[in-house]
Amino acid sequence: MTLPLPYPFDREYMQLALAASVLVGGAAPLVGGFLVQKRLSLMGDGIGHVAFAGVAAGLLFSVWPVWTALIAALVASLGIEWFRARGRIGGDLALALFFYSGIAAGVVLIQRAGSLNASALGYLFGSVLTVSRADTITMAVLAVVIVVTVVVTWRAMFAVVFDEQAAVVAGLPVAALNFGLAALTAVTVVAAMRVVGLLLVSALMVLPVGAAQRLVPSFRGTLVAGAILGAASAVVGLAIARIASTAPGGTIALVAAAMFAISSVIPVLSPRTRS
Amino acid sequence: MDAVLRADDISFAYGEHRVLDHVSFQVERGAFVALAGGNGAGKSTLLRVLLGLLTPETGTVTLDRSIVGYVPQRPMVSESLPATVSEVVASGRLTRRGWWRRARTDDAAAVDDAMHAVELADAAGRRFTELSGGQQQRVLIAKAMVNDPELLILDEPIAGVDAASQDRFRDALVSRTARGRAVLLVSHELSAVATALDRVLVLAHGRIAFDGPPSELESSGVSLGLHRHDLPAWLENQP
Repeated sequence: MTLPLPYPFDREYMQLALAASVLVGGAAPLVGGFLVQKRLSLMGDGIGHVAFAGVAAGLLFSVWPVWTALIAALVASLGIEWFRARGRIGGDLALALFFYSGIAAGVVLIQRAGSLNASALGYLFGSVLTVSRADTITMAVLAVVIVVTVVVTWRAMFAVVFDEQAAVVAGLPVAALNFGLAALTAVTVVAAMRVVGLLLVSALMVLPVGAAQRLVPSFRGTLVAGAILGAASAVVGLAIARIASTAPGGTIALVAAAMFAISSVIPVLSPRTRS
Repeated sequence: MDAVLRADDISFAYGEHRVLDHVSFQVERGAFVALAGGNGAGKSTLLRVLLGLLTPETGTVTLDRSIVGYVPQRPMVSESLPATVSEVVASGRLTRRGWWRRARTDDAAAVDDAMHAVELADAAGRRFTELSGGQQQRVLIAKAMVNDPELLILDEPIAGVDAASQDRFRDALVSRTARGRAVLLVSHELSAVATALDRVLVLAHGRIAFDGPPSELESSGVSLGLHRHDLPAWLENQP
């Protein structure tokens, strides 16, 4: 069914792409808001590379790649958090371990499957113009999981972000919250992979947050503003992609980067600055 | 008197390096106690053991952590952290109401009261990282006091804080002890609160070298301005 929307969203494939992009663009910064403050902005990137191995496994074994990517991403996210929490190796080194192992496993599996083609590239760089109604419903379910989880846990996760040691002393379930955030990152990566691609997932998670935190003084406000800017990046990027015949995933990420750049020249709008 | 914190025979070592050597003491309800000592005396390690962040080799800590308010040394937050003063203070309320629940009217009232107590109610909507060091410290104290804890534990709270803030800080703590709440202040900087203390514990070489009222320490030749000159010299002469 095609809705009576104006150009460039007049075709059904554009309307499905619009729905998928807005869902993912709005949900991803809700998770990225915590990653940015924990200085784990590249975590989505690392998990994305492992998710690529999951996609490759799905193509090799003829299983829907979304499921295999979700499993691989969840395993990687929990593994990265496990290494980080135990302090055996630094957070960045843990990311590098999963980052390179994931992409290497993906290349090996893709070669075995004989699928180094448009299908695989679609997961790497996004293929939002080809999402089906079923894909959009899956993204909607994942977005609801993200939004509900963040709405319930954001206060506690903020306390952990602000001072993890004080949160432990206060009796908050810090380890569970950290593993929960890692798992939520994995869900976000998989939800976003068809829209901007596994290589650009982090852009949607962190760039809107980087822009929002320049504009809004509060943490809750930053999460909300980040979600709005993320969804706006998706809509504007998708429209530009249709009008200028550019790659939608890359265009959406570039719009998010442009918003970040513009925000960095605007002073923070805190009450003190306003006065 | 009723103890809110009891440490019995606490020992701890980092590998071969013994940091705490059979430390025992208690903090009674309504007492204002300072834990002092030079750099490397083991104060931070003892504090981490008391708070349950480290497990001692020997001994036990008797402390109900649900009645504790903890003020850390200034947290290592990013300059760009988007968080208002009221959000920081409200985060101290989570364990009381359940971390998954929305804030209720009494939570909002408790946050307002805590901000008023440290004279920062006007700054509720300001970004935490925009405040001065002294103001940030007061926000952390408000966060710790928002549940009206029976024991307030503060780790080096007045390092780098201006004199006016130190006086306000001391008055806030004294008003708590007057209401039967206990305070354990861990610091090498005690001059601002020295006159208000009930007891001073001095930690030296991993042991309690002194446990008594400040006046007794003074009679040993150590002034109430503990950190200035004479405490380090006095500590050197302890066995």
